[in-house]
Amino acid sequence: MNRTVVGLLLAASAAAWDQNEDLLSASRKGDLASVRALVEKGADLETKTSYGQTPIYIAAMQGHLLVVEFLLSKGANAEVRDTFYKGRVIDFAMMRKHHDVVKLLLTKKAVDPDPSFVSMVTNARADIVQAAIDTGKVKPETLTRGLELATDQKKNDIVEILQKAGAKPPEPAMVIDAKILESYTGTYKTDQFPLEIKAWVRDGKLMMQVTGQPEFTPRPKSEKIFNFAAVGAEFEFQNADTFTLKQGGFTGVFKKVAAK
Amino acid sequence: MRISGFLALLLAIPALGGDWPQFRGPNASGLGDGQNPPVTWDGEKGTNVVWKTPIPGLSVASPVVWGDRVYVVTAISSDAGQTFRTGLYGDTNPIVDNTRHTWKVCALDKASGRILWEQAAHQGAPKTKRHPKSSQASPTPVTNGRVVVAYFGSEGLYAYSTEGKLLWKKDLGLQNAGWFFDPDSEWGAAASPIIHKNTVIVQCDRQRDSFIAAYNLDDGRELWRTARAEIPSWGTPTLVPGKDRVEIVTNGTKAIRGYDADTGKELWTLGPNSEVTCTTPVAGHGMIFVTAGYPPVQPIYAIRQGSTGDLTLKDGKESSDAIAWSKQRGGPYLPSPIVVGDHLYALGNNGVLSCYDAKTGNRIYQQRVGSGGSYSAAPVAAGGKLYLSSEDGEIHVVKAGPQYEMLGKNPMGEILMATPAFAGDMMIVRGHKHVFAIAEPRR
Repeated sequence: MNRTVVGLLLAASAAAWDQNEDLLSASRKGDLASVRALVEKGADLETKTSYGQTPIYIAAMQGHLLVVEFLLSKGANAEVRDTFYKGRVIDFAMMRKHHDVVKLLLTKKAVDPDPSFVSMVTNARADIVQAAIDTGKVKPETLTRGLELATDQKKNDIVEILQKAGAKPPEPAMVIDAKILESYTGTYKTDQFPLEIKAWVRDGKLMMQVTGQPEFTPRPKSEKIFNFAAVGAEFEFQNADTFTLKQGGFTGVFKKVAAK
Repeated sequence: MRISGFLALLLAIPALGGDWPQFRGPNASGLGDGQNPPVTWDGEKGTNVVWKTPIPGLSVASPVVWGDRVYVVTAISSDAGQTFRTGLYGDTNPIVDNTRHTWKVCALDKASGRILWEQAAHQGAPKTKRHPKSSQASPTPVTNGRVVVAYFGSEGLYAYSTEGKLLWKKDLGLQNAGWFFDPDSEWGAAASPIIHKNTVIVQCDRQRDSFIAAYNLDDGRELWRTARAEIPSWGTPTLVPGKDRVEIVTNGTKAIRGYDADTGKELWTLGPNSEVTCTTPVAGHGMIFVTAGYPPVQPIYAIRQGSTGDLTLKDGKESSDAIAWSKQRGGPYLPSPIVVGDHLYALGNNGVLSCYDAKTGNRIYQQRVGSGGSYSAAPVAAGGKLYLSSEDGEIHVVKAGPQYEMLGKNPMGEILMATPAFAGDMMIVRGHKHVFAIAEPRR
């Protein structure tokens, strides 16, 4: 290969790199005209930042609806995950309350709503939950988990949507003997990492709180096992002083360090 | 301007006992050695409060002290409702307040708290947004008893005489430090300036073209500038005097680095590090301790002073000739670590205090301080006691040593984001709305 050809190839490669950088930048700014022009010139729809964010990922994060719509129409992959947080486009759009973008991704069936459905029930609006259900991709067990959560959180509009979608009504919460619940009251710690969980009883229900986070009401499955569906956590009491927390792949043993 | 021989000599005099010239005091140690501030006080009721001076605006910058003066900075927004958002949360959205701000430098009388002078360094809309826990006046000023330098990020670097006369100012460009994942999430600059000989050194890590530079204290002339291949960071650089050289140690994502303080020449690098770095390195026992507390690693490194080259450990190794010990977990995120006696203390944002043997890295204890608040300010220590400020407005006093012992819990009555300073037997605390001087009455 002669020098001229090498020079031309290098120049072409640099120009393509510049175009891709420009596409990421225009997507960040929501500059639809530039995004359109760059895509037409051949910029790579799936070009990535050093954290694996593509143009559609960035546009969705920033809430640029028209850019997201355009990139989807050109076949951009909305299921891409970044390489740092391993997050999905829809999760970041939802976290930043870009509801129009979330709804677009759902109505275009560009993303699988199932992995994000519980967080939609917790954080999003009824129309988003409805749009997710309308994709037909939310699994029956996820609908039921969502209904359990919406019932607990008294989100009546979402409860109604989920019931209509065929979610099975949650089994009535077990009534646990007050003395047993009282015996679980206290502050728990684990040696595995610096986390403290408090447990107490209110209105005949076990309440829990992780330091710095909102309190929650785990649902009893038995006298010893309690679930918190929103985060997929299970608390199993071995006795009045110890419980095991199972969440995702994590299992941690918590011991009571204070009775109240 | 030429400096007379007498002045040059004066400039070389180190901070005297009782002075607290920069963020975390002499060489960022956080130690008020020989000082003995109280264990109990009440900022609301006034118990053991010598004075309490209201300062308008928001600032997470610490007070600094030289001689009979206390210097503080602030940024006053036209929106009187601006405040801090405290607590443990992962929200990355910045505060957007485009109203007119006034950036001020104030000198207070150490004995009475009376404001001796205040100067408006700059007025206008902020050029960047701020983190909900931060302010538009976050870097702590620095002084050598002759010049007071305040750094306001995108709003510039300002040098005043101790009488409040503006000596020079410098525009260092847009300091759009923010979330690495989204350059529009500006959080604002926070690394404080430091003084080495007759220069003020500023670490400017931002979205592009990061650098560290030294400016002549007399006229602001740039004496050296070293480019840093870095993304935004917020930790203050630390000066570490050694046998043959004074190193500047910087915390940064791409690498922890050492520089020659006279020339800015890079001496060594070390990785890996957290993607967000906020803490200030601290030296002790011939080592430099650098920590960070954000994924993918939350390291604690004990680096031997005087090392050179690439100090990165080989895969699976926790130590080497240059690294006395290290851990890839346990580094604090916001509060900088501190070395007191034989121990290194690391305070988590969640108020969990870990005590390590500084020489070996063995963890001696891990204990929750208080009742579960959040912590941003760095621990400081004096008279064998650690002082830990919670965002909720309580300062906990913990006995330094291998056994955890809570000595006192002291309410201040307002949000605490800034690291306290020591001045003789006084502790100077910058709260959300006031500067407090805490001391027991003289007997």
